Amino acid sequence: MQPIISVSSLFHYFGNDKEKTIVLENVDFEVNEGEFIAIQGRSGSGKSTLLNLLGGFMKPIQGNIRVNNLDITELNENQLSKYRRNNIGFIFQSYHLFPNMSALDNVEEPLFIAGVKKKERSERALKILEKVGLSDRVNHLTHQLSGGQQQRVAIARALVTDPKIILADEPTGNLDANTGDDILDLICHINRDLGKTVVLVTHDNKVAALANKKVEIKEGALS
Amino acid sequence: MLSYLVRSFKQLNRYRLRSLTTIIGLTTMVVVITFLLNFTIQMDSLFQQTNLDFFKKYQYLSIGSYGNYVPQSSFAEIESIDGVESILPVTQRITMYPWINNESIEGYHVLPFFIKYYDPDYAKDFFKGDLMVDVSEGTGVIISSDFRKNMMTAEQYENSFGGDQELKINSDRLVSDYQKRDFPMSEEIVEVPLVGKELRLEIDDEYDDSVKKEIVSLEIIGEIKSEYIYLNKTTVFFPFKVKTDQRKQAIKYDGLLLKTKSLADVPRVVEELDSKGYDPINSLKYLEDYFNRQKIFLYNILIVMGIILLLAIFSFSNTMQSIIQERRAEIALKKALGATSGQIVLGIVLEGLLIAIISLIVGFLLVIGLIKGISLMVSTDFINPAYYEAFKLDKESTLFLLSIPYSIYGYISLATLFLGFSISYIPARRFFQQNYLTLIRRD
Repeated sequence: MQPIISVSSLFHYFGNDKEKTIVLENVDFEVNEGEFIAIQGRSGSGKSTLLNLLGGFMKPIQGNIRVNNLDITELNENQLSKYRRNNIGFIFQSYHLFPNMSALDNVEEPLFIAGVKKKERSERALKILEKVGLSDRVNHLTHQLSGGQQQRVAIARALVTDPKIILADEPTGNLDANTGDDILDLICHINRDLGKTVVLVTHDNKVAALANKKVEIKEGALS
Repeated sequence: MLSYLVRSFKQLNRYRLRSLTTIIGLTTMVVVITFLLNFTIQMDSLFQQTNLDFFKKYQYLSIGSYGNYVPQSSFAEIESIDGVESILPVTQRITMYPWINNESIEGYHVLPFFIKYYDPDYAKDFFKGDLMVDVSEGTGVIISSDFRKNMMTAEQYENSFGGDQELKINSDRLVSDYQKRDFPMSEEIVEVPLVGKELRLEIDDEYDDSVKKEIVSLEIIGEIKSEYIYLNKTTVFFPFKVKTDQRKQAIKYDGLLLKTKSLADVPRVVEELDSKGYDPINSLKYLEDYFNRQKIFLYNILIVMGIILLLAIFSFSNTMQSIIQERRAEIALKKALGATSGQIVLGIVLEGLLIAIISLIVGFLLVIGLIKGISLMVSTDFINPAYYEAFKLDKESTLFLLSIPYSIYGYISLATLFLGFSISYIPARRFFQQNYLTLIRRD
């Protein structure tokens, strides 16, 4: 099977030449389409840096990242925007919803950016919100929703453009155990039933156990 | 594009306090700059119309007007001053309401004017054909306009004669054609064609009671229109021939127009005339001083406008900058969701343009409202007319400055739209130079 994500010889550090902190070194791995991979590691181990590199938020000092047959280390700022738009759905630990906007408007936003017409935007967003169990909350403003509901809106927003890959950064980090379990169930459903490739960053072994592949980063290297 | 506009409008609403502050500031700027620019452009265009070259060519010095008579015995002495090319003895009779005693021109009266006779023996020499007025025996001119001593000197009247004036014989022309603009002080003028008519004027001299009233019969032989630049009015000259023989006995030439050999002679001639106590008026210097003063005034206004614009750019772009800083997490998130920098800049620029458009609409409505209000106050004499006199204001000039040409609305619109664009585009571009994506990543 052709890997959908292929990372080779990745090397990255923060700081300057004199005082550098190496966060990733000789990182190689592949993720096949439809896989659920958990990237584990302690705080500061470089796992979120890896996620940011996969999301095209920064460029590695060395190495290649191929996503969907596209070497994203070669792309410029605008090409990276389009890459994210077409390939990636993000789920953040602190949800990062647009304040003072309704759940529906939040989910519609990626479609607006992609230039989808208003009617189609609403239809698609409503359908996804229904899938994540929020059909009765579509017109609520984000601050009127609970943490779990906000994360569901964020998941709906990540799915609405129908991306192949979901990048999730500690998606349950801000939630209590029960709500966190619900969200994890939802993510498993996305992987299993919708066929999305999920790359999930976590420090929690229980969360990582749900994945069908685990990668652990220790001091910048995979183990 | 429409969906972007709707979004930008929603964004303005979300940050309504800051948006409102910016709109109020920009609206004030639109109102102030519209009036200032209108004043500057209108005044400047009036100055542009003034042909100072003409005054340089005909370097007239005038002495002996408004009661400061020059005795005829002095003519020879003045003519002999070194640098003087020729002199023209003149009689100027000034009166506000000369009664025209001619029953054939029924109802034609209270035409404000003053009348000037040239001595025919000198006139031909003096003008040397430059003026297209018939300077044959008994020629003079009735100068008729909105007559205000404070606003116009005899020299300015004199200088409005020129080689570029054309004597137009137009017997069909009616006085009423001039009525509204040219004779605003006279409300009783009726329609009378003047050219070809014979007028009998009873003229007194308001400066010298000892001068006895004259009855003179004149034939109007044409009309010369002269634009009065800085008042934006037309003055009409009616050249005439004197029909009666009484003229020669009645008229004492008591003033002089004086032409120097060259411009360089003027200061010396003026000095000499001064030392002899003749009190000369140098028309060119008068006008040049006047225009220079006005131009300096206009330049100052331009500087003030420049400062206002710079302050506006500075303060509004700071406001936009802080709005963008407040929204940086939101912008970073949009980038994460796949928005290009262009899409984000477009949204912000549309907000700036919306602010500019709203400010323009409100500002122009205020300008139009103010103009209507002031015009109404002026036209209904809501303001006591005595104030105009007290502050030496010209009522008509005030109104003419209130009529703002469409071009000025155009310039202001362009400038404000440019301002709206730059105050949003510059901070937006500057924002993308920061490492803003750190806001949504975490390690």
